[in-house]
Amino acid sequence: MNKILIIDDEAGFTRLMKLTLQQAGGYEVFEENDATRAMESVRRVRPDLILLDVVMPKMDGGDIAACIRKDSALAHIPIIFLSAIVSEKDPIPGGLIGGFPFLSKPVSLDALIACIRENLPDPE
Amino acid sequence: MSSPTQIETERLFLHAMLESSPDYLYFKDTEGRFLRINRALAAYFGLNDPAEAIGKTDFDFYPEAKAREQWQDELCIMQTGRPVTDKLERHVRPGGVVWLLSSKAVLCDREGRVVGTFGMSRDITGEKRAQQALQTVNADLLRSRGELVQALEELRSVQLQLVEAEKMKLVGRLAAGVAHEVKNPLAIITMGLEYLNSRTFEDPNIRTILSEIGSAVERADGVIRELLDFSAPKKLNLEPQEINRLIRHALVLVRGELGGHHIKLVEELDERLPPVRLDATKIEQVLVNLFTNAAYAMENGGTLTVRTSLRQVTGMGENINPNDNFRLGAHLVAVDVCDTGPGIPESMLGKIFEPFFTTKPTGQGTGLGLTVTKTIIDLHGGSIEIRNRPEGGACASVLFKAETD
Repeated sequence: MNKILIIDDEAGFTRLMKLTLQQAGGYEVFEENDATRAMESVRRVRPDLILLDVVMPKMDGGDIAACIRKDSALAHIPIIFLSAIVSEKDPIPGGLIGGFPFLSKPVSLDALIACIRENLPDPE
Repeated sequence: MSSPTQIETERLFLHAMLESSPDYLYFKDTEGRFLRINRALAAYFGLNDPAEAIGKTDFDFYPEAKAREQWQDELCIMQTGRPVTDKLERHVRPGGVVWLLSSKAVLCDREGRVVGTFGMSRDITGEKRAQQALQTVNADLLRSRGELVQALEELRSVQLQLVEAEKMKLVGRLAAGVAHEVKNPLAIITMGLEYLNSRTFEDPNIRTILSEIGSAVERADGVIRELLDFSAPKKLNLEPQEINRLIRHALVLVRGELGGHHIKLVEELDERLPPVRLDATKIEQVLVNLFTNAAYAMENGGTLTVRTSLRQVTGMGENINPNDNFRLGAHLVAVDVCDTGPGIPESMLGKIFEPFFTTKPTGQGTGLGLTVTKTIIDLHGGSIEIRNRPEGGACASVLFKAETD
């Protein structure tokens, strides 16, 4: 069973996301709502894919993604940015942000699962 | 009879007047020969002594044409007895042009017989030059005033644009902040709906309720996206485009909408139009917006006419108003989108481009469509005007500067 780690400060969102993804996709889902503990969770869970929020207090998704890519043991984990971010430098929803796929909140379950399947590594 | 003393006094007066007057004075006989001239006129003729002029005529001092003209005047005066007063004369002298203001009258003896003429001329060259200088200064002032008025207009326009830009920046920040805060709860509701949709319920109403909630979330998300579209800084990807191609593409996108309302489409596209530098995606958005608005105005059917043409700015006239940024002579590509709906109430015409102004029922329009449309057209340096047609319905006219200019 593929493990997915959701890093997002919106606890309500991660809770429902966990329920829905477990129900619909058959994934094992973990939540982390504290950005400063994100790396710790990544090391502990060793997920097959990370859903990462961009704007979070204390540390943003970009910094976390950079830390993951610098760690040779974690660098291979696919990351999908999932955010309500809206700014001048906004990426096009469905496009890329810093080379990572990006989905804009609110996102439909179909679009989310399609993106997860596309980015999950092929089963060995 | 005058006494010798009186005669002497008169002589003194006349002598003083002749010798001291700065004006040119003379007396002539009936043949136009000088009988007497004063010092000032002698100096004007270049003579050392006034007596040198006695017996000579104007032909000795002036070019022939001028002398003839003077002689004609004198003949007329002697024949009619009527004086010539304040005649402006232009004399070309070795030192340049001289302007004289002359008065002449008939000279009679004690018995009233005509014995010649006399006259007085005043040199007004200085005044004339001052007048000309004044006219030049006046013309310069008028020109400067015109330039100032134009500069002031431009300043006002720039000021308005700056205020507008600053307002948009604030609205943009506000919209981005609100959007971020609203999108997160919407994401939670969406996920909740997705979860509930995967469950089974005994009560059939629950499915309907979930579907209604889903539609409401979609609507809220749509409003936010439109709000962001309205406020986000726009960057244009300008390339020469055939406007007719963009129109045909946009019409394909709204075909369903037009068919649903039983609307007949009339295309009057000028195929000889020059290209226009446009952002194709954004202009298609504008066109779709205008077509959709027209379709909305013809809910019970009608005719949508889409017309393109080439125009030239020849002055402020039909479809070209003083707020447009087009210079005189510029070639413009015009797109007219006309419907046969009920038109727009006069009281609302001035507000249609204002943000959040809508005639649609709640939930069916954000009131940002035409605002975004105008913003995009303004960014292209174009103009849009929406007016009611005398024959009924409304017409939106969009103008863009053609590539040829």
